[in-house]
Amino acid sequence: MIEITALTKTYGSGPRAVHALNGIDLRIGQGMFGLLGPNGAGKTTLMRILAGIVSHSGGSARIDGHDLASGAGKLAVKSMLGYLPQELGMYNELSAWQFVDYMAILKGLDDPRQRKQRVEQALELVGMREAAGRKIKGFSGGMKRRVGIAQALVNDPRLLIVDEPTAGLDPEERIRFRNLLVNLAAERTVLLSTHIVEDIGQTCRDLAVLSRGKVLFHGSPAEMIGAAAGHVWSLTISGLEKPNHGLTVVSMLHLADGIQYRLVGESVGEYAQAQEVQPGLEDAYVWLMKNAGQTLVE
Amino acid sequence: MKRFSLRYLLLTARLDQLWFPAAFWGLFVIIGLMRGPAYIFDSTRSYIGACVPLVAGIMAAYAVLDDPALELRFAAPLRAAPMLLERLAPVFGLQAGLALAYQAFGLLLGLELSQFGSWWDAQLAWLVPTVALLAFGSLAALLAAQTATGAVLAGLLWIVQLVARGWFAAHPQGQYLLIFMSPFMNDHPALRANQLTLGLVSALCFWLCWRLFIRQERYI
Repeated sequence: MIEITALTKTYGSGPRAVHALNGIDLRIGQGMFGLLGPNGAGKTTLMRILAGIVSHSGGSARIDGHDLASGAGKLAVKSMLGYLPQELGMYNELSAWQFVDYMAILKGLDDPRQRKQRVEQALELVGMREAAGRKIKGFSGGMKRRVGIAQALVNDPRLLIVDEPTAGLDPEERIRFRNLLVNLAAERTVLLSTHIVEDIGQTCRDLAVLSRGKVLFHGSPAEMIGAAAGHVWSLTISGLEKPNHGLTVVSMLHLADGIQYRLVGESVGEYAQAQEVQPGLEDAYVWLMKNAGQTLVE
Repeated sequence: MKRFSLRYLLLTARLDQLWFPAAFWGLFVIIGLMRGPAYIFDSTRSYIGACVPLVAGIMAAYAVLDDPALELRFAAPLRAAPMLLERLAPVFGLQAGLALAYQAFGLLLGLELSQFGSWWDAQLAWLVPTVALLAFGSLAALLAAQTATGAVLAGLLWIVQLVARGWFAAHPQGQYLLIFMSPFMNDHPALRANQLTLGLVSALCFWLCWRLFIRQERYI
């Protein structure tokens, strides 16, 4: 169980201080938990704090009772942690097998027989057994990510933290990766941070949306979608004029008789022909951000 | 739990960092051969007393932070001190090996180690400045959180001390901090105090490196 209370993180001091986290409260249990938010929302900072790499400025963060404010607590958490950072650096001259084996050694798996077994299992799990002997420098982005998740799993962690794991992957790789994470979440806590709404909707039963270092929403995807009900419309306009009146365009589609817009906003205003539609998670996310005063690029 | 593998330490070592000291060693071997036995003491003193410390300082600046998988290491249950040791010990080991190898080469050309004093004094001639610049290079890199800055500062300290070594040697306080006293002024009355002071300063630098390296967030 992850217990986060009034967590703050400030980088620097004085007038140039950056407040990355401004009082985060979360309780996260077993299963897949999604952390969603725009770039700069504080997701990576929160992930790094939970991984014991970054120290928080205030509040508290505990994982299975281990306090991340202390050095001993951080070491204890790292012993049960699997971590896949956003920017995954690897030793390109090593083979996939060697890299995962090395990470296993660093994580304290000393017994060679047990380690060999764990490395093979981890590579098998991510579908990299066949390519295990090949050097990492020849791998695609997706293959590197899979090796990255294998090293995260090699110590059979109780907590798996994955930061933007699907960034840069092709659609097929993304689906495979998402399914893999869901399978892993069956017996551990998996924390998935992303700004790709679709990834969360397909995998998480619990999620939090972060913006400017604060939790805007914490609940299930269904609850988040429910909050946007009555605020999403479809509107087809024949002219080139874009709908305004405080409406945010989520998507647009060029049709034979005009442009079909999917809109999110408080009310549809003068567009009487607009039809209310069922919101999706992406609409709900836009609605949430809009209410929080977050400007969306259109 | 050992959490260390010599095999992977070697496999992940950057080859250019091995060529760099090896090239200097080769250059000084050529210089030694060209200048001949009459100047082998000067060649040896220049290599072990000046070149080895400079290369150690530059390599130390790169050793700790120049690691593509640094964030993954930070997420592993590793303590800061063994991590530092794992990164700096190979730099020292390599430079120590090259210093000893050059002395062996010098002996083949008729080098008299007694010109340094005792055998132990000959070893202190490279050991003291090498450890001092290694400690300074790694501390500068960690303070700046930048490898290149650490290397530049180590090089700057080296050149300032080498050029102004006469001034340092004559200065009442500066004499204790002159890195090159052991190789170049081994008859100086403050030699032992200088070696002791530099040893303590190096230890302080290593301690500061350890304190800085605990704050992992500075380096990702």
